[in-house]
Amino acid sequence: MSMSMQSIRDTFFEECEDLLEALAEGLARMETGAADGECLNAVFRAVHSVKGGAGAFALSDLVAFAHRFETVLDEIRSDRLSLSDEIMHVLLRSADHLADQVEAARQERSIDDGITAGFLANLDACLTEAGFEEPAAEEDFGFSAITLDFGAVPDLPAPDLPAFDLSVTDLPASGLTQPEQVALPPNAPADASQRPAAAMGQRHLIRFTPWPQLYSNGHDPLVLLTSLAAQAEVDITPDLSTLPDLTDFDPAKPCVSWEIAPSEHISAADIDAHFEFVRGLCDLTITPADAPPATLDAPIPPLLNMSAAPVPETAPGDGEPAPAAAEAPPAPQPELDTASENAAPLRRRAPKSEEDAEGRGPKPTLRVDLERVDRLINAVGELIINQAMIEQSVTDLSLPADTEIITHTEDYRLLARDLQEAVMAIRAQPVKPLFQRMSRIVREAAEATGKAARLVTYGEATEVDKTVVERLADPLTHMIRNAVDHGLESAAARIAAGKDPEGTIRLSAAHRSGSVIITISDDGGGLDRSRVLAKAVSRGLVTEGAELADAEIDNLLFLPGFSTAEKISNLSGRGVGLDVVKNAVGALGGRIAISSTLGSGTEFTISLPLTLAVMDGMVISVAGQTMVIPIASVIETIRPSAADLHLLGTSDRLLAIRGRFLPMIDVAECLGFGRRDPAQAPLALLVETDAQTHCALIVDAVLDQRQVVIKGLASNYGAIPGVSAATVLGDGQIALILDTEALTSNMSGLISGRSNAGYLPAVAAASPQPPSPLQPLVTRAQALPQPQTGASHAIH
Amino acid sequence: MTLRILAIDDSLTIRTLLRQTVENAGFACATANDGQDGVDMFTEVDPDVVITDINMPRLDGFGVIEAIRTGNHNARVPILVLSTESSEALKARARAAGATGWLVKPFEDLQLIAILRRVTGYSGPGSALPGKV
Repeated sequence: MSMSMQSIRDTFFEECEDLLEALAEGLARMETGAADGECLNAVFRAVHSVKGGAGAFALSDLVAFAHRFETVLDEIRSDRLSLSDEIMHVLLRSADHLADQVEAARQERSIDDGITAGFLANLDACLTEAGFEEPAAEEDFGFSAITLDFGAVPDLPAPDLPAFDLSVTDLPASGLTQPEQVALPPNAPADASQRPAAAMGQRHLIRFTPWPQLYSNGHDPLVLLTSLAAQAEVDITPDLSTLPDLTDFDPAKPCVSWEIAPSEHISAADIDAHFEFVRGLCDLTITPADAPPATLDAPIPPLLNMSAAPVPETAPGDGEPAPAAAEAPPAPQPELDTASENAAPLRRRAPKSEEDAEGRGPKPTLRVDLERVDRLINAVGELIINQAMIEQSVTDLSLPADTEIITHTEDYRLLARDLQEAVMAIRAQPVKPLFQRMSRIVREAAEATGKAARLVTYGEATEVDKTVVERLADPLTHMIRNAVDHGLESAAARIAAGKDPEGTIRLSAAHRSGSVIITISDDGGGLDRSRVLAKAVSRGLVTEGAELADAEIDNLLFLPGFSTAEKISNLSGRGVGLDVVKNAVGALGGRIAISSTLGSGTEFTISLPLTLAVMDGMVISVAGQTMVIPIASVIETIRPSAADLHLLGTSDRLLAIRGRFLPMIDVAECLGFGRRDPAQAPLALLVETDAQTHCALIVDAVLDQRQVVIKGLASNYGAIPGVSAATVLGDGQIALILDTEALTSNMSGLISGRSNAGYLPAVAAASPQPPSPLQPLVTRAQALPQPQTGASHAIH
Repeated sequence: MTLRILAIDDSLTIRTLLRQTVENAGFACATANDGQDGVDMFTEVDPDVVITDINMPRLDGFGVIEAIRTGNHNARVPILVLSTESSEALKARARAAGATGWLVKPFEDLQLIAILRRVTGYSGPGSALPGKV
């Protein structure tokens, strides 16, 4: 495949993504009954365009399936097939299969014919229901790269219908490759030896009378006659006898015919071929040359009469010229009434089209190589760092506030911020395609588990960074499957509980204070906490007899090893636990939380940063080091008094705040800078922990709040516990960005590598088993005072 | 002077293919994303041939043909329909609306070029059209 074909192929698959998205969207509207005619058209067009493009790359399986699919859609569109639930289901599953086929074609692999055959059979069943019969003419429809068919093979009788298909199967014979012979009158005869049939065969006389529609359909007698003349020397004589009197002359009506006398043999079939395109648009008679010449009054019975099925309105002299034609140059002139009359239904539709043009016309878009966008984003990131440096330098000069450079620096800062937001917006994508894919997951999961489930989505227009959208696909898929498989009860159980037998999975996205909140909820039975706890104990994740709050039990689901061991069902038990989901979300700088109400369902909440390139950071100082904490994770800043600090055991402390006791984490200690005096806590940052309780990070000082450009460390240093990335501050200093998630789970001693025994002596001693790293998290939580009642799962 | 083609198709893939095919042959190609765009561009592009899809948003191929044929400018331009459809009813409708010819997708490069030459009588890059009646 040539480079350019490869690139068009890429274009095709990119376009398919859009088309499949439009298809899914349209089908979703059809499912809710909100589809209007235009929606049906859009759905049809989406499948149709996939088919059209696929044909160009000889993807015959795809073409065949899309064709059948679109046939069913066409039956629905034309009200021959009513949209039942079953048929809707077939359409949705067919769209899924079409997407699979496109993906398979992209990867140049093939899908098992048996699978496709199953989907085709379902579509056929729909067509049977509609009483549809495939027209015979379409049987051979484009399943192979079509050699354009001419419609009539020379020497065969002319078909009943006017030949209209264009083909060039006989082009060499028609002489278009001999451009030097196109002039009229013909040039000197070609060497007779090149035309073996010439001279020996029968000569013919041709009489050619164009109908008005021949002109109005864009045909040109000159082109036709030139092409004929290119093949053989011909005498062409206009027949002016049909010219009306000057008083009756209408310049908009063609009234000329031509008699063409080839001076050598051209077979009737060859002549036929020349007039192939205009068959049905003219009178064409071909008579043997030795017969008396045909006249209009007494035509000789033709050997071949190509004027098929004359349309009454198109007969010459019948009908009035259209106003447009009257203004056009003189004869021979198209007579345009025919086109206008036949197009009347189109005209009635025109206002709708205009309305569409104004109301729903697509916004102009530009496809840009992602690499270019990322280069731009990088450059803007550097610019923002540079801006911060300049600002810092200016500040260091201690100039008077009204100095010009200070004003300019301020402007620069605002411009840089605008620029950065604009650039980030390029990468922002609506979550809609992602959400749409999930309806398929729900369908498949429901099918696999024998449950009835539907997906309801909210906030599809919410925009998130492209990378986030991409990397959320797997976690979301997993959670949606989980929701159907584990969340929803069986239909029987739901009916018994007085619920709709069809379960609902709700997927929503929304922006909330610099984050994107994505929730996945089901209206199932909720978590059975006693079972969860029992399982966690049996896995050795929780100490036997530990008393956990509901929220803590719920959060056990996220522990590694909780769900992987047991194959729960053939759907969800794929060796992927919610811990993997949690890690994936964490890798995007997000957090996940769970809340569940027995009897009415479970909800997962994922909170994600809007962009992965910059964030609002709080610049802090710890053990003489300058660091950054994401502002989003800081709930409150507190300067604790000594009275608020309470010792727990020998070394751990709690911070009392508004009647609650929060565990305190010394950031300096976590990062290995050594412990501070437990009685000292200059500044506490309240952050949220995994279990939606809070804890206090102890730092030395807050220096600044600013937007920082995130520079990954992973590629150079690998993953560093407690540190998510780095940034460059205005003074050129490099500052680490702390991973509050990891710091707060450091309560378990995971990061610092301290011995658990030393950190939590009482708990370790109480544990009969060797301490697993995860145990203390829970046991410690148990040891903490629990001022909250019940499960408070709100995200702050 | 060379042939100017206006290709109207809502599929980027088909537009790209048409453009490449036509330009490889040394012809000029303008493309429009749907029927309405095509009609809007028609006067400015002033093509020697129009190639149009049928199934398109906003304005379909029949609408394109009608608009061009009833317009005041270049109303007799050859208009070729390029469609995956091949039903006789649609072809008849297109012809009644004023289409010059009907091609079934997918097309082959050489055939398309030959057809473009044939409906225009154009005999090669660099040489002039033999003029119009």
